[in-house]
Amino acid sequence: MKNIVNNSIDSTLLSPITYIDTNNESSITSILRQSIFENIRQRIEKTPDSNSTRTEDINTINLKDYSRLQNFTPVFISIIQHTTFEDGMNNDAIEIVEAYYNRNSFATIMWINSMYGQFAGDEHIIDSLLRIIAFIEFPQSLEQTFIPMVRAALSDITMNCQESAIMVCETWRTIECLKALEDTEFSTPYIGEYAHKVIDELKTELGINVA
Amino acid sequence: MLLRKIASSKRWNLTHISSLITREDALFTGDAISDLRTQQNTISVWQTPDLNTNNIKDIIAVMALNCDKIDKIFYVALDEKELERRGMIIKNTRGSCPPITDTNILDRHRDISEVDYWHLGLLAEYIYELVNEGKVYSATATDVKSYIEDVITNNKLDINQVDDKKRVPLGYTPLSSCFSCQNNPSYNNNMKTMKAAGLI
Repeated sequence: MKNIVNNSIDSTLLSPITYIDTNNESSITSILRQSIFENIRQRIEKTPDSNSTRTEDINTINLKDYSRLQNFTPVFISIIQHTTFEDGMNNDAIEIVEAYYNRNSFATIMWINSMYGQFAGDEHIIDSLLRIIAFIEFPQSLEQTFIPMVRAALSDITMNCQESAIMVCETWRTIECLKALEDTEFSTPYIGEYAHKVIDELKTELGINVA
Repeated sequence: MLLRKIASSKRWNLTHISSLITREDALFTGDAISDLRTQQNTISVWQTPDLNTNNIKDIIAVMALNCDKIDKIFYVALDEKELERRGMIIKNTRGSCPPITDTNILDRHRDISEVDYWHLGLLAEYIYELVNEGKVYSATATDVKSYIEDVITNNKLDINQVDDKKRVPLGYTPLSSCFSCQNNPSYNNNMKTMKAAGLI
């Protein structure tokens, strides 16, 4: 994976964030439209025929899309840092992930997981990633890849991510989520109350007797 | 009592304030104030006699319909007398929620009006106290969905005015063929951004 990134993209492009004035919160979207991206676009290799059904081509497309997303990470992290996440409200970060997910779901999921690995100690980034995951409805088969992130967020009561992890569980509504919630000690009474409502709903839905 | 949606509970959480603001005289986070957006110096709240589900479900439905997606809602119940004691002015003003056709629901809207810098702080302080006394209430996304369904069943809502992000989970067909993007300027801007970045 690393080789592909290094072979296909000039290493000077790996930090596009340095071009952005991070103090300017007025319009992240307009910042992003700066000519730097045109510059990047011109220097990134073209993907193989996207209509190809050959396994090799599909793998190549996935890897190239993934490496593009990885190079987009610094910019995306900047977007997250300047984005307000509110219950039930869409935002730029969600829309970007959703748009890319609709284009290449595997690359997007790998990318989100790679950002989790990279920023595991950063409460705001992890909380934001979880809120993005909760907002976008992934197919159940792909959701499993996020379970470690959800479990980690639930288990660390010093981090402020429990609420967003519960929101993910509420969206997914699986037995794994139920187990994760049942194993959790919650940081505040109201987060606990919310979680227990979700637990009760899941028990009913999944046919597990409520004690 | 008056219900106010909490857009982000972590902004109000005392447990984590020391990790966010290290100064010793910190009271509550500056971010908490951003949960109290004023419009024409008013703050929107909804009146309910109590927290009985039958009395609050229409209000929760309205709060949800004013969001982009059906999601869980955290809210606090503000005591009118306590607000008045803190110098707040409460006015009856009809609420705004285009899909809602029943004016009885919209007439339950109130404005905390003539909010200045001082009273915004006092209101934030009051909400902060409620949150840290654990007086935050929640409606799960499933609850919210069922409350909206009740509003629909009781003909209090024009479903054709509900956008696709909320129509589809309610079991209605989307109005547009690409319900996540059409007629959405923000989405289109992001698509342009991603195209320019070579991401699509």
